[in-house]
Amino acid sequence: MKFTRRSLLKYSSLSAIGAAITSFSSSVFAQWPTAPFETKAFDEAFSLITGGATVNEGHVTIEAPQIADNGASVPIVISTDLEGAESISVFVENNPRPFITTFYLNDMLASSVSLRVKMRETSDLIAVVKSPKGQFMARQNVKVTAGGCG
Amino acid sequence: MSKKVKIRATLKDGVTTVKAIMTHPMETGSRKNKETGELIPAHFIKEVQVTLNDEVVMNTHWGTGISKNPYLSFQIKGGAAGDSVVLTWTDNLGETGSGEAKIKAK
Repeated sequence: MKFTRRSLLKYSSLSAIGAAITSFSSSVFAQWPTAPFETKAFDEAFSLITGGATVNEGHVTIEAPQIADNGASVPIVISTDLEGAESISVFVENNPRPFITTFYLNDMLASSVSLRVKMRETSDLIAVVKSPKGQFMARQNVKVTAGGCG
Repeated sequence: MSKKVKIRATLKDGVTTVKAIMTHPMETGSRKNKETGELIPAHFIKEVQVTLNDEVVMNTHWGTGISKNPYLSFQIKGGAAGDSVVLTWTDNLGETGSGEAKIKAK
């Protein structure tokens, strides 16, 4: 079977119908957001993702090294204690393209993800969690001794 | 041809921990070939989806800021030994990769 992007999308929407019964968030149907991924301005990416809404501090934890030897691969863990978290988005403020990723969660997931990100230089890492209670964020500085976007 | 994803799912105290490593260059499109000086075209994973027994549990959009050979780990509440966890990715060139793990109880 030829596995094209189209057939994958078709497949994913089919399985999503099944998932809808277990009240999956509608955000699963969201398209890859081109504008926030391509912008070079952190403020713009941030407001595109948050929709310009108020984002409070708290309820979100970033685990990341204070000093990263290798900016090409910085291990981070984002977690939240918010009930029913819908998504987790990650930004690296000083990267050429500051918006890194959004994870869409459903209620079967524990609200924590670990991944590795590229960091060109010393920068703040920002994580934003959307939940029924509103949007919350955390910020942590990571010192990079060798850049990773080279 | 779909590429393989290394994936492992371990059940402990009612929580399944999934760990996966994908093989992918994650080229940003702004890196130059050191010999020719030409830009290396962007080639990166855009979407990753995870299912538990064919039901979507997580969907994610990635940009070029994710590291080469991406690592991903997360926890699913519940799950039982033998359940199937499948991770599928799609990149900007339409290539795909996937891997399946049966949950192992610890």
